[in-house]
Order: sequence, then C-alpha cells, then structure tokens
Amino acid sequence: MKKIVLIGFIALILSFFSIAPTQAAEPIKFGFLHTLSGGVGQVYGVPDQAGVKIAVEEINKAGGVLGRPLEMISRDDKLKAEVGVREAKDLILNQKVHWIQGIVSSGIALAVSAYCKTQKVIFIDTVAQSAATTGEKGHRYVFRITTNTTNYARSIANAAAKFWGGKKVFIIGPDYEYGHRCKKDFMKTYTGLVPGAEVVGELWPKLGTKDFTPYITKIMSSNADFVYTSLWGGEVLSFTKTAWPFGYFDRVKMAGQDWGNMEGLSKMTRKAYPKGVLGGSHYPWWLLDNPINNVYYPKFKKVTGMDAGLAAASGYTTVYAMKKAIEKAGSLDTEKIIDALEGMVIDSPVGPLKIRACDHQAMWPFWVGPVAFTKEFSWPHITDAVAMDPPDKGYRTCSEIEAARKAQK
Amino acid sequence: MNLQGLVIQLLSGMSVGMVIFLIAVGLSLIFGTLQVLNLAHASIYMLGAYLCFWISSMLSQVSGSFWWSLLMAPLLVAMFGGFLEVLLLRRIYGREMLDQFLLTFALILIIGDLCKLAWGVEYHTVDTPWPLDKAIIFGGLVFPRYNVFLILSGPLIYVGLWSLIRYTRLGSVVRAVTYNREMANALGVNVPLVYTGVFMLGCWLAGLGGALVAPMSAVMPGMDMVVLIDCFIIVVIGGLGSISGAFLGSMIFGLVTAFGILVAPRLAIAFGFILMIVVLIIRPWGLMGKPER
Repeated sequence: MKKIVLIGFIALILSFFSIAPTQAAEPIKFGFLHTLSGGVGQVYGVPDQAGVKIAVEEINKAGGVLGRPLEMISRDDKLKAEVGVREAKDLILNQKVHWIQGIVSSGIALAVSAYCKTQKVIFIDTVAQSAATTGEKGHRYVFRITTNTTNYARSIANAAAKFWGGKKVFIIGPDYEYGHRCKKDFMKTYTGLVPGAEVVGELWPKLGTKDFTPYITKIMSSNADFVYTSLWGGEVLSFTKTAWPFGYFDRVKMAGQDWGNMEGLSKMTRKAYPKGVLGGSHYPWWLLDNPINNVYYPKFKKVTGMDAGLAAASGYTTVYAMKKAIEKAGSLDTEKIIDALEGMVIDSPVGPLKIRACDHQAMWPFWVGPVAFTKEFSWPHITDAVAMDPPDKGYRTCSEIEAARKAQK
Repeated sequence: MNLQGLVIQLLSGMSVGMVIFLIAVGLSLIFGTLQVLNLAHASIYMLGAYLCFWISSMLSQVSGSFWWSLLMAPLLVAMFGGFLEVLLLRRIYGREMLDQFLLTFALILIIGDLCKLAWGVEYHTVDTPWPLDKAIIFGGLVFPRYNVFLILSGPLIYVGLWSLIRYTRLGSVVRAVTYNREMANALGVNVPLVYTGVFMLGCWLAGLGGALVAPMSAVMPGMDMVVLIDCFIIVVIGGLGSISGAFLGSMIFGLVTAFGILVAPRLAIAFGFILMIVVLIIRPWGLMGKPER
C-alpha cells in the first residue's frame, strides 16, 4: 500500500517536470534602452517601445525565434549618457541580454555603443541620427536601422534638382556645426546634379530665434531661385508663422529636411503652414504601399491610438531583423549573428532594407516632397515624395567611411 | 537692393524692436525703482506667451478669443508677479546683488519647469487674430497687418507709460520712491506697496510682450533665454532704469538687427553686442541713463 502511494507521489511530481519545459522554453532576452520619460520620451521612446512590443507579440504568437519566445527588458536612460551606460551594464551583466536596441540621443548612443564594444554585445541604434555612430565611431558590434544625418541634405538636394533645378541658391540655417555641415553636404550633392549652381546669399540666425521678420524680408527681396534651410524643431513653426502673412510661401520656393516631419506639421492648420515647401520624412506611411506597412500602420494606430512615427517603425523593424539574423545564424552566438546581419536584406514598413556590411548602416531611404493639405488628413503633409534611388546614394560610400575612420585615428 | 526692400527691412526692424521694447521696459522699470535686476524677467514673458496660448485655446469657440487672452494673460502674469514680489523678492532688497541673482536665477529654472509641467515640451502657437491676419499691400510692398499692429503698439505703450510716470500723482510717488526711498517713506509713502505695484506693472508689460509674440511665432520651452540677452543689450544701450532709454535702445536694436542682416548677415548676431560695447565705452550709464550718484 505504502509503495503504491509512493509511486503515485513520484508520478505526480514527475508530471510537473514533464509539463514545465513545453510550457515555456527559456526566452531570448534583449534590452530596450530608450528615453522613456519627459517630452523626448513621449515623442520617441514611448512610440518606439510600442512598436517593439507589437513585433515581440507577433513573433511569439507565431512560435518565437528558434522555438524560443522573445523577452524585451525595457530601461529608461533619462536622456543622460551615464544613466544609459549604467542601464546597459545591468542589462548585459545581470540580465544577460543578447542585444540592446533603441536610444534617441546621439551622445548616449555613442557611449552605449562604446560600452557594448568592450562587452562584445550587439547594439542597434534605432532613432539617434549622428552619422558618426556608424561612421567615424563605427565598430563590429554597432548597427543602425534608421536614417542618419548624411542622408538629409543629399535627399533634399536630389529632390530640389528634380522639382526645381535653379542655379541661385539661398541658405538659411541654425548657426552651429549642424547647420553649416548641412549647407556643405547640400551644395556638394546639388552642384553635382545642377552644374554651375551657387550660393547667392546665406543667413545664420542664432539658435532659439523667435522673431524671423527681418530674415524673411531679406530672403523675399533676394532674387534666388530657391532657399535651402536646415532650420528644425520649433523654429519650423516660428518661421512658418512669421512668414505666412507675408505671402512668403506663394512667392519663395524653399526646401528643408525637417519641414515634412509629421511631429512638426501636425500642429499646423490651413491658416499658416509651409505650403509647397519641399520637406522630408523618414516614414511617410500615407505614401507607402507595401504589404508590411499596409498591415503594420493600421495595427499600430489601433493598438496605441497614435499615428506611427519614425521611431516606432524602426524599433519594429529591428526586432524582425534580429529574428531573421538569429534564424540565419542558427544560434545565439553573437559573432555568427553579426556575420548574418552583414549584407542582409530585411523587410520593413518602408520596404526591403539592406544592412551594409562595411558600416552596419541600414540603407533606409529619406523621402522628400512638397507639403500640402489633402482631403485625407487634418494636418499638412508631404505629397508626391521622391527618395534617392538606390537609397545607398543618400549615404557615404564604403570607401568614404573607411577614409573617415582612418582620419579619426 | 531697391528702395522697396529697404522700406520693408526698416519696418521689420521696427517690428522686432517694438516687441522687445515691451519686455525690456519692464526690466528697466523694475530695476529703476526696486534696484533689483530680475534675471527671471524673460521667464515672466514666456509665461505670458504660454498663458495667451492656453486661454485662447480654452476660448477657441468664442469669437475674438485672442483679444480676450491678450487682455487676461498679462493680468494673470501681473498677479503672479505680485505673488513673487510679496513672497520672495521682498526678503532680499537689503541684501547683496549676488543673493538677488541667485534668487531670480532660481526663478528662471522654476518657471521654466512649471511651464513644461503645465503645457509639455511640444511647440504651441496661436492663430493670428482677425482682422490682423491679412497683409497690407501697398504698391509692390507686402507687409502683414499684425506686424503693423506691433509697430504701433510700441509707441502707444511708451507714451502711456511715460505720461503715467510724468503727469499722474501715482507717477510722482513712484518717482519719489525711485529718487530717495527713505525720504519718501518718511513722508508717508507706502514704499512696499509701490514696490509691489511697480513689479506687477513690469510683469504685466513682459506678459503683454509674450502674448503678442504668440500669434507670430511658436510658444515653447527655452524661448526666454534669447530674449533675456537681447533685453540686457537694450537696457545697457538705453540706460538701466529709463523708460525713454528702453524705447530708444529697442528701436536701435531692432534696426541694427534688421540692417545687419541686410548688409552683413554673417555678422548679424554680433551687431547688437558691438553696439553694446561701444556704448559701454563711451557712455557707461547708457544713452538716456544717468551716471550713478
């Protein structure tokens, strides 16, 4: 009698063990490190997190990666480099994540990238745009699945040549390194497309200028064919508000990378908006027609109630890219995953993307088109957009990257 | 550059100058009477801009919402200023300049964060109000009515303030306190009340400046810092404590900025500072100020 009870007891215990492994294979952990707090978090980190969550749920529902589910561990870098590195350390040393993705600030991205290099863990930048991250400061363990700054001025120059093609260019931009570098990049590409083009005037309002009146009147009295601007963020709105009553947008042609951003334009009404300005967008979901976007965009809107911006699309894409790479490598060995990622073509809401082997930068296109109101939306947006074809043209070539890295050393 | 371009640039400069005048004159007035250099003055201006945005968006169903907020936002700002004076500034009049700087600098951070807390970090704006949302077209000139309104409101405020100080009983009390506070006190003037009143008036002017900027630009965090530096340039040029000096300084500042952009855009940022240095060398007490007694 006792024996029977004992055997029954053992059988019961064994049954627990036998159920457990099939219920949950050990998850594949990855770190999601992003600015989640504050206004920057609201615009970039939180939507990115939502996009990543959607990807993780989809993948786990379909059976996971190599039969194991994905587990995302979220951390807030609080927009501070030292917090970012501290969280990265914890993710790698204690949580044993297989890769880290996210980050909006280029400064934090560089710091985390440098740390991941020492730990030989993959870091994928999904929002921060500094060209240096995959350029001068690039290494084997850092990737970027989004655009970078090099692409902006080049794509705008490409579109300006296509839409207008005048020779007299006027420049207005914020007076620091970014603005001056944009001018240089723009003119380099533009003179290649329109030989003989020249700068006929340039204005450099100081950062944070609120009253653009004298700048606007000066531009309007110049006889330039069009204006290239690298003004961005709040200055897009300030400039537009001041310029509109002058009839500026009916009389002056202007192009600028930050003038097609959904985040900036969604506040504007028919009473004042950058009418006809050639603006840029990383993810113009309203213009894209591919199977992934057609499913992803409405789903994102349904789940989150937000319109999908750039950050959400790149976070989502990155999770799928890692799935594909791990499956191709057939293991979780970091070196094998990196080999798989190099040169791989991944699917994304913006269409197929190549991850270049030489600098680990995804060839993410940047679309440029005239800003207008249509019946579809209650805010102005870019229409008839063009992108560099192939998208590689928007980025530095591999030999340029190599030269830049050598010059660093 | 043709004549038309010059005229437009002249008007632009005046429009820039008159907005900044409203803010600078408040700073100058407060310093003249209270002997406090309020570093947070531009933050008060920013608060005015935010309140204008907030009130006009709450009243968006009401016609003339901007005009209501133009009326109410500066008054709310003045009341807030009154609070600051009674609760905080009043305690440091006798102390050193450094204590004043510490307190008013802290206020910059506090007001900045409060604005972020209340209205977020995104950019806001206010629709240009009827009937100023069109442009005046004269010959080949196109100039927005709203900027004309700004150009006109500057001198109006200036004349109003100047007459208030010059011709009213209230004005003579303020002048008496400014000239000699102990004597005024001995003669039965309620000096603390005058201080509070002048501080509120200064804040009202800054709030008005902020409310007027909202429809022609963006309301956002950080909009205070650039203006603060411009205001310092103006009061140094015009003379700290002088209403006429602030008016003259603002006009010069606006025109120098506008024509600087016209002739030497690469140096445009520097012109204001160069002018300030020249004035400091030739006439350290400013164009309309008085040498220290």
